[in-house]
Amino acid sequence: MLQVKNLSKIYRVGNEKIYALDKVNLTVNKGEFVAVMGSSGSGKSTLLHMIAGVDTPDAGEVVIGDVDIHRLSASEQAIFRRRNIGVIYQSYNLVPTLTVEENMILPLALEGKKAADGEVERLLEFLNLTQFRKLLPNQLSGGQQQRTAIGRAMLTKPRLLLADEPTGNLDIQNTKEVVKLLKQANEMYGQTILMVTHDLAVGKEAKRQIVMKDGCIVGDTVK
Amino acid sequence: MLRQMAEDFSEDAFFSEVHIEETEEKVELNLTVALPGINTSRRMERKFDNYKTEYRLEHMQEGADAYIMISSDPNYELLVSYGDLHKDNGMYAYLMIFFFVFGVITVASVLVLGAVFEVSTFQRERDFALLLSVGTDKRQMKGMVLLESALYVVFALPAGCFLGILLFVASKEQIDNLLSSLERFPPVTLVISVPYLVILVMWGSVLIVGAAWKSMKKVERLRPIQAMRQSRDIYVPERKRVRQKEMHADEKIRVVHWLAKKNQIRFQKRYRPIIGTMIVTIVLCYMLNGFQKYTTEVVDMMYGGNGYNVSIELYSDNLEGLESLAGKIKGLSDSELYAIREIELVLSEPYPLSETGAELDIRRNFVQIPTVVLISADGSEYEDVFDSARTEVAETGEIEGIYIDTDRVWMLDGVAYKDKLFALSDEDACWVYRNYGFGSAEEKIKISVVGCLSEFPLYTEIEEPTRMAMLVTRETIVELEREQASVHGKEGQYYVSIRGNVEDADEFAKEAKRLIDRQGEVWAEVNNYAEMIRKENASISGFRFLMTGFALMIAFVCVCGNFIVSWTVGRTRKKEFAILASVGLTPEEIRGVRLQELLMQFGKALMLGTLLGILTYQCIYYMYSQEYRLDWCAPWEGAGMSLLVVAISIFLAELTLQAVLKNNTIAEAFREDGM
Repeated sequence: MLQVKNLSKIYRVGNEKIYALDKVNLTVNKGEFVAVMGSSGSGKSTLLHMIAGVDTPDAGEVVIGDVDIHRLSASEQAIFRRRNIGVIYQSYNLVPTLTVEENMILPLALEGKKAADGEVERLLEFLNLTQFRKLLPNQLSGGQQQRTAIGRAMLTKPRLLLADEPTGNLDIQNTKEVVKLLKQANEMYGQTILMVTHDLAVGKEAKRQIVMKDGCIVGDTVK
Repeated sequence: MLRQMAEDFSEDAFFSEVHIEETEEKVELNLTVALPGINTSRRMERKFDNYKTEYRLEHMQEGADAYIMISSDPNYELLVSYGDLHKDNGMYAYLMIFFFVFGVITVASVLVLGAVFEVSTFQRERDFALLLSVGTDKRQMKGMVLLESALYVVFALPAGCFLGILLFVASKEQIDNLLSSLERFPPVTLVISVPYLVILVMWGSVLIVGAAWKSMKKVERLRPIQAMRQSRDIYVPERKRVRQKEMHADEKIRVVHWLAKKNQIRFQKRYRPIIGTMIVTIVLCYMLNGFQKYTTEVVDMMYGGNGYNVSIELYSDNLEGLESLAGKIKGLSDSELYAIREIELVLSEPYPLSETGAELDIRRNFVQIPTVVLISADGSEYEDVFDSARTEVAETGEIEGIYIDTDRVWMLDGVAYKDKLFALSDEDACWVYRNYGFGSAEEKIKISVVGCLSEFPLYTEIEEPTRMAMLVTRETIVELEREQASVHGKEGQYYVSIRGNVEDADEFAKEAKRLIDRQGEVWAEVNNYAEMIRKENASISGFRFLMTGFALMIAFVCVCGNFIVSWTVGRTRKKEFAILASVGLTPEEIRGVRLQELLMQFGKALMLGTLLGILTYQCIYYMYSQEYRLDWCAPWEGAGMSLLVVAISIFLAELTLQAVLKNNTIAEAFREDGM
């Protein structure tokens, strides 16, 4: 369901070229839970950003379903993203003026759709956020914010859930919770998840581990 | 009486010189003040009024062989050189307007500058916090902010002085036009005064430092931990949270509008100075509209209906000389010039012109404009000249109303009218006082109007200053004149009034004056209405120029402030817009959010500004309509100008935001937040 073909991203520093991604090829099937791991600067976040369409590659393709997302216009990409991709960021990136519930339903509202009866409540319960639903992001802890971000990403039932260092800013307890939620989403709802992490322990929770180094995939193992 | 006044004034330290001059015809008391100042003429008037009341000098007194009239005539040229600001010379009003607008611009500038400093401090919070974390103390931090603002003084003040001088040079002509409407004001010259420059520098410094004060206080409250934050938290205060309507999952919402509303509340405070200056600009637009519209109408009313652009009044005891001079003056121009009055007796308040009146040999007391001209005629005379098209005559022969010539301006109860049907009923007949203003109410007689003329037997036209012309019966005149039998006097003067439309009124007036001076024995008044209209229009144009300049200055402050605030707000919201884009808002939807935010912000300014602007416009209309009957007109130009100001502000803000957010991918915006 996801195909990355010869994806490259080059940064120019003076006369030097730095290959953040160097002809990366990757296929992710429906229902897979994949962890992309590597040290800092290996290109894993860059890869995720390319797949999410929030950054533009210098070469290559990213095909989700049968759509090459980088051939779409900015508007089309945004619409595709809200319908098909859910993204979870390391720094949560919640809309600061919206409550927990409002942040979660935002992508759905953009489509002009209403949530199914009780769906939001069930998700809030699943994420253990029911009592926080009317709070703003700056009133929440890091774990609560990240769970809100997960709820926002999941409510639209996207084809692909991307998580960029979702536990990077969390303590051990919250890290475990978030990883548990992602696993549940994958196992219970068959959600396809691509997670970037530098934490080996977190990466091992995924069924498939991809290792990156210097912009290339150097390892790909399935549990 | 004057001698007594002279004695009293001599003992008053306010006057340095008191001098009485006596001639055959009059006695003059000349006074010079010892300590001239800003309100000299006003203080003089007050003193004089006190004496007039004390000695009951307000009423004309009749003596056996002389009439006594007291009038005061300030030497305005001298007073103006003292810097006198008497209201009559108009400078007072202009200076008040100037100071008012200067105050508004100052307040607007300080507010906008303060907003800019605040935003700049907000943007650099982390930098300041970093400095705190490495050991900089709060006093040093405040000093940094103060020094930065002081640098603005060093750059801005000389630039401002230079631009001010340039602006003065560019607008000197308009300022001279404006002042030309004031009596005895010479053209302005540039004076660079060191004391005023020093005051200006000090004042500018105070303003700029004052604007930076809030930022200094903010920096004082920073904590080093704020440098450690990887991303900036956006704090929404409690009271703003309560006001924001929540979105629920089961509602169909317009997300763009809903997001815009939430953000507009959040950024209200930041845009407040911009909104304030915008409101002032809008009010000035309406003020300009009102002033322009009604002043032009008044000038047109005052001069436009004359039907002539030059008039010359000639008085002389020598009829032959007068006739010869009148002929020469008429010969100066190819245009049709007509003598409208060639009579033996000069009219004053309103003496009759019947044969009876002429036989009485009434002396001319002063040359005054008659309030009413009474013309005696018997029934056969007025039937011949009666203009039935302009009046309605009942069967009894008494008319119901007087229809005044449409091109004339005439006065009723102190209000100027044009083209007015003035109705009279038997109960509401016109009252004429026997002593023509100097008698008591019991001495009036009632006259009914029996006809109205646009042309009189003795006149080719009704004189412009004449308020109303009524035709009355001979019996009425005789009855009125009966009381005048006791008035004796010397021979009157001959009087000719010449007027018409000439091609070059300036040249004609100059030549006429030359002829009159050469003739001698003639007292003349030459009125060049073309020049008067030019001066009035120039004065209006000068005032409009200055007001427009002020409005543009405030609009400039508003636009600049808007640009800077929008730019810095845009930069601080880069990440926020990136989050919205990552969630799935299209660029068009994000632009829609921004635009709606701006419309909400500036829409408030438009509403309030329009309300205040219309109120100002109404005040101007009310002010003018106290003296002139004007038709109210909707302030469309003001509305148009204010819409333009708001549209430009929105366009500029949107352009600025777009420029700030351009060329950034979502990922780059996320990365920049950490910088």
